[in-house]
Amino acid sequence: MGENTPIGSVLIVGGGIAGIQSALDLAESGFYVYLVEEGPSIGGVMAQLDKTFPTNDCSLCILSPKLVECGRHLNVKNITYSEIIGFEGTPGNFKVKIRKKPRYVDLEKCVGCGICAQKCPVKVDDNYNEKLAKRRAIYVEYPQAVPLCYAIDAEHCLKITKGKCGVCQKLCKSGAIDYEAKEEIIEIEVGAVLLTPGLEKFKNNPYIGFDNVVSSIQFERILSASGPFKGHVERPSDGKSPEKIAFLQCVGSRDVSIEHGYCSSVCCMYAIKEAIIAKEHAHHLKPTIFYMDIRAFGKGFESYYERAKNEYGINFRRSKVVQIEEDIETKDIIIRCVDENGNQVKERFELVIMSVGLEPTKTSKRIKDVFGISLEKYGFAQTNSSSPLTTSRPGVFVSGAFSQPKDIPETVVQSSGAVSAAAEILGGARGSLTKEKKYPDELNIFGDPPRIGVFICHCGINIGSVVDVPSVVEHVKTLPNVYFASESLYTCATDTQNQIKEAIVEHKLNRFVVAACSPRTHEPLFQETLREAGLNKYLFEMANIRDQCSWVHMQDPEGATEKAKDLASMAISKARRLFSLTPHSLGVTSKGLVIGGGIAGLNSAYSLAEQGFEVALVEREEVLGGQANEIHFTLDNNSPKKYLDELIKNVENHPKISVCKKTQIKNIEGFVGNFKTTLNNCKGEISYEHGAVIVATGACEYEPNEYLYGKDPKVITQRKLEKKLTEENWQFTSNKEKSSIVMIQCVGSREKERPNCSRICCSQAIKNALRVKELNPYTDVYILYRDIRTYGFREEYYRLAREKGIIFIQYDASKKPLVEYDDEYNINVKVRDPIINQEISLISDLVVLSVGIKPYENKNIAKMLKVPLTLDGFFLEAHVKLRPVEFSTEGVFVAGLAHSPKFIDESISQGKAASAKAASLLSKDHISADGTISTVDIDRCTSCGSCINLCAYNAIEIKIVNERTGKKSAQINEALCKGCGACSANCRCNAIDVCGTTAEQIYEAVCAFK
Amino acid sequence: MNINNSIQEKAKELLAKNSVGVVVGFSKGTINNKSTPFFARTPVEAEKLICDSNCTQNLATYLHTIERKGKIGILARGCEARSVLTLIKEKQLNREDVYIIGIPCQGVAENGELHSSCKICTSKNPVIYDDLASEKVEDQEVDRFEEVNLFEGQSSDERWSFFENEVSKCIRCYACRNACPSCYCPSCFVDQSQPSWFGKTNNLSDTSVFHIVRALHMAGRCVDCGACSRSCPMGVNLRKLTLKMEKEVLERFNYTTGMNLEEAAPLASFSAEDNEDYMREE
Amino acid sequence: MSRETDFNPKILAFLCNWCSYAGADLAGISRLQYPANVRVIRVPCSGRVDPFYILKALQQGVDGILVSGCHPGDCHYLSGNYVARRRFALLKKLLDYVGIEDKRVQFTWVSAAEGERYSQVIKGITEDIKKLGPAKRLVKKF
Ligand code: SF4
Ligand code: SF4
Ligand code: SF4
Ligand code: FES
Repeated sequence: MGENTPIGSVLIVGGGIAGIQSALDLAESGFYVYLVEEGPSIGGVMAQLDKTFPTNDCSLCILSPKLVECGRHLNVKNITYSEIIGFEGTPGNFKVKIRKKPRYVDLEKCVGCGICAQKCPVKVDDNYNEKLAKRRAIYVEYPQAVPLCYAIDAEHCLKITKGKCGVCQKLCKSGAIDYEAKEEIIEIEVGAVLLTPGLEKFKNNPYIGFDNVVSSIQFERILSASGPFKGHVERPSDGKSPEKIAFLQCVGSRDVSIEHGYCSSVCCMYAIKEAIIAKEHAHHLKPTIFYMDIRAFGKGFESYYERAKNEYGINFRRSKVVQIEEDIETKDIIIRCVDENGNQVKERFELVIMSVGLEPTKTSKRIKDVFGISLEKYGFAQTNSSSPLTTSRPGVFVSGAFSQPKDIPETVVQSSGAVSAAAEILGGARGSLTKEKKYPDELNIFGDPPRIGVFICHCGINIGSVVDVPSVVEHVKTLPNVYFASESLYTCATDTQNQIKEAIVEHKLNRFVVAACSPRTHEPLFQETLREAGLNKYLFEMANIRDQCSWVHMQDPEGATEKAKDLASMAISKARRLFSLTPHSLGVTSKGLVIGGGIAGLNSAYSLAEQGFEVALVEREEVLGGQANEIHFTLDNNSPKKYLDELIKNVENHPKISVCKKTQIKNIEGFVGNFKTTLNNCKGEISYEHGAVIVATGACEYEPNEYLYGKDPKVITQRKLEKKLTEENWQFTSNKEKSSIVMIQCVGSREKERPNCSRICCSQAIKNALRVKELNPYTDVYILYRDIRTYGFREEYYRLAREKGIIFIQYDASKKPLVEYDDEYNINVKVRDPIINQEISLISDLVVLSVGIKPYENKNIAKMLKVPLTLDGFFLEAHVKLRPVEFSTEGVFVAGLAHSPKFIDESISQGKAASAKAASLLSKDHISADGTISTVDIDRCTSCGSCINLCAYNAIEIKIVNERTGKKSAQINEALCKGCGACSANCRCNAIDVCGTTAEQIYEAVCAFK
Repeated sequence: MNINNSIQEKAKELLAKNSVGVVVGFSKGTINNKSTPFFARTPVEAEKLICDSNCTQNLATYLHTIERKGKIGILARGCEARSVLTLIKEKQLNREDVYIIGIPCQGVAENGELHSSCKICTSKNPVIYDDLASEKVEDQEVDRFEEVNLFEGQSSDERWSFFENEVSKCIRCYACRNACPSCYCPSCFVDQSQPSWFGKTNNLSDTSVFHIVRALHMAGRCVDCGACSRSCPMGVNLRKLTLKMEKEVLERFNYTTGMNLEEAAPLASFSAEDNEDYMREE
Repeated sequence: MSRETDFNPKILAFLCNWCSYAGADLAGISRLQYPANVRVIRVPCSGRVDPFYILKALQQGVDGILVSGCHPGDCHYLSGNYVARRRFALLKKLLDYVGIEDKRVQFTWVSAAEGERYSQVIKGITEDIKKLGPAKRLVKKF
């Protein structure tokens, strides 16, 4: 490799959702990944969560497929239980030294059966369950862990500490346990590094000693159906189901006294979520949330908050908690707080949840030393608002909570964004280190009568101790088409794979069935073996006789054996009807289209171009830059203008980018990999072919009509004020000594018509207020607000503003301020001051409205791209948690304000994230769809179109299939179909079938159950 | 003017001007009082067109089979118009392909009585038409689901024996299917193989499955014209099931078949808000 | 089956791959014990389940049938369970209407984290079917 060619692999430090997302994105777009995780398995904090806000999705349900994918990906090397100890080199060419701690269980040999843990005599606090349960000294963190390989906790293992016991080694049938294992040092070379070590939960909670005070993450485990209390809301002291529970917000956040001056950004929302979920579990619950401000600033959060109040009856109390104490007898918790009238009151609760904040990872100092990056004062990685993904060391990028507390979607956005950042410097090395597996040519079995081979697995003693495996083997031998049947100790072991291959050759088998554990974890392995033996991977079928049989019928060996026989018969019957599937492959036009030339669009276009792809950037206005043109300074005193000008220059001069200004999108046709768009401008119509689309159409300012806006020139918007503040000698009043500005928050946001929070206005107001104070300290500045939502590090400026004498007055939506003239024609702002509980009147020389952000009319583009909008008109992504920049329509991505209101740094991250997704698609010369998709029998289809809207992926179209007769039929776009079958099961004509679970296959399976 | 005269006038004019290639209607039959479907292709033939209470078929059925040469004129009573609308919704027809002569209807007779479906008809006037053959008639207010509700009130044993008894009459001649304008699949599920989900013979269990699936296929698509039950030689009470589907679709999805073109059919759409009352209770 | 008490029902469950099947696996991983009466057919999504599967099973003499998918909003395919929910509402109501016993065919949602719930559902449905006795209605006599 030449001196200048970068290395096509990337190191990722930290295997939480951030690292996992980056790993998958990188591996999918041609880079080899080393994913290094300190703990024994990947998954991070997300794996501990019960549900996720604001959709109440089950956290593990959505995470687990990603874990599995990451664990199995040919181009992701998971290095768990390891840490980085050495790092040197330059961008494109780094050397890394990794210490692998001894796990004492061989990753290759352990099959994850868990017999060892059942018999291990040592019980240790289970950190995954936040110490609310016990685990053994040999353990997996949680049942769905990846890799599903046990590890021995050397600190507690009797064998390792005292030389006694050793029972697990005796029990392990696969001989995976080695008490003598030693640490290992390995060295690798990578082109770039992504730091995603995540976060720590605030631990120094002063009240955690009380039995019935739990942390929010403990409560998360309590709520989890797989948690210590099986999802029943119980209090730890006596297992009673509580009625009155309280959440205390900002524990370990917004508190300079403990050096946590920042807001943790996620606690309000998770508290609301936990309260809602708790209430769903136990309807009688009466949750109260004690808070300072409810920071429901994200997409859809405010509506969630409203629902919590109005539909779930959760009690929100804006109140300072003075002290909490325990009633020694009942173990109830007594909260002393200040009520609305300023009096101290006591209230009794049966369970109290501390909404603990986020801290930088405890490894942050070490990471700083090893990688030589700077940290900001709290120990988070230092970044700035125009380069949110870069650390101080070139070639080392950061994403997720390591740079600032943030929630899952933002973490995921940043993780994909960081992938783009890395790919920009490694572009040329794409594909240089990734592996592709070669398989022998596939046998054509079409028309051959089925010859089925079967393995029935003992799984050590996991199956064999309950199910009479030999009798199942005897049973299947009697079934038609079975030419080979045998038992095996571990069917997944390497030597059994060889036996399978040999059996296929020797007995001329053309289908294979394994009755063992779960296909969800093991099917891919066996399918791989079939491919190595020259059989199509879809000629494989599995029967689950462990997880769903021997493990759950331990007391009923007879019943379990009967069941195992039935399950094997059903699998064999289905197998008779299996056929080879060839994944369809489609070409990709490796060009991108970016719609919208604001910050997000510019970043997307530039990043794609830097990664080597041609891009057309379409902007309807005459100038690029969008809303950022109106931003003159930022809170952290960056100059967005400078950044923007540079970015625009880079984009306009980039040889791979064609910038089309004053251009409209007239029409978009096609689908993933193969779009054709008609652009329209003064020069006429242009047709452009491309493989991916990024929607970055932006949003605009809400135009107010309240508070005398438009009627009096002294009522202006924040944006106007910002502009004025940059003009020299601007004076808004002649009275220099005593002037006053009143700012009103939430104008046009958090209202009936626009229910969501515009996210940026609080910080914007504070930014301008600080500047006003800086220019003229004598000006009185009042900010009338509902909740101050300065999340993350922005909280520091809120504190600064208060220190500078800016006066914050809270008002309720039900009692909005009044802006009116007094007798002397002065503007008078009337508002109720909650502290003195009186209406006050502020004579103001200037009233500044913090107006919200409203979406453009997006219907047209949405329709052309077949993508959905939210109720308030922003684009709606495929999944708010884990697919924040993708649409369910493949090949179409979203970024920036078009998605929801956000700050510049967030738009940058999202713009880059969208380009990472697009790049991963464009970097392929073809896309191959999975074989398990649906097919239409055109002779059966009546072209009624009933299926079209049932398909979440827009994969179905009615087309003319015979020009001569004009016969129409539904047609499935193989590139889009995911094989869910929603269309098929609804078709009256049975015209659609789904490969992999065809009607015939299911029919046979049903018939086999007699 | 007598309604038949008005029909004939209108049909004649349409055919004479070549606005349509054919007018689908009825003519007096040769046996008893029964009228038969009749396709008028010339102004002269148009003089035979009639529509009265002896016209028991649903004419929309013929839209599937008739040769499509130019626009098709069709007489459509309330239920037939809803059928035509349903067919347009199901993309079997374009609105421009048909000229609808709407016929406000007072019901059809069976054995000297108003047919049971007409007794509870609440759409006597066509919902969609290009021209009306007469003044609209007054619609009635009735409880369409009285029979269904009564039946639901019976015990499950009673319901099962009723169902079994009805099904046991069925000879699987498929006259009901053929009479139904909504039955037009190129290959009907009853004829399909690979797999053949249920047997093709008169086995009671198989026939029951036929009737259950038939009813399911009618959900949100049946206009209760009653053509199937009038066509059944064995007198099977087919409407017992289709009415139930009508009720469920209305109560659950707030949908009535064939009333407008905009609303998506219930089984061609979905909603996050649907009622889950039938699901397993914890 | 001679006596009601000996009755060991045959139950068939259609589980979606992403949630309910995973939930069933989790029940196993957690060693939650439940009766051995259920046979599972794995389908990609509850939306894949065609009424024919259920009718065929009833004809076969299966005593109880369960269809389970992801909770509303959680479907791996975004809306497959919504589509299924409509279809099953009609099927279920129709089956009840013609006299198939209420508990014979059941629908529910089980998430990938609800191993406990899965085992409860199976216990529950096994009890239900035992109370109902062997299937007779719609069973095809050969
Ligand atoms: S596949 Fe079925 S539902 Fe879809 S258009 Fe064809 S007949 Fe209608
Ligand atoms: S199987 Fe699912 S994804 Fe594929 S076309 Fe049918 S509804 Fe769409
Ligand atoms: S017309 Fe009557 S007998 Fe013939 S198939 Fe229909 S219900 Fe059965
Ligand atoms: S994937 Fe579980 S219901 Fe759709």
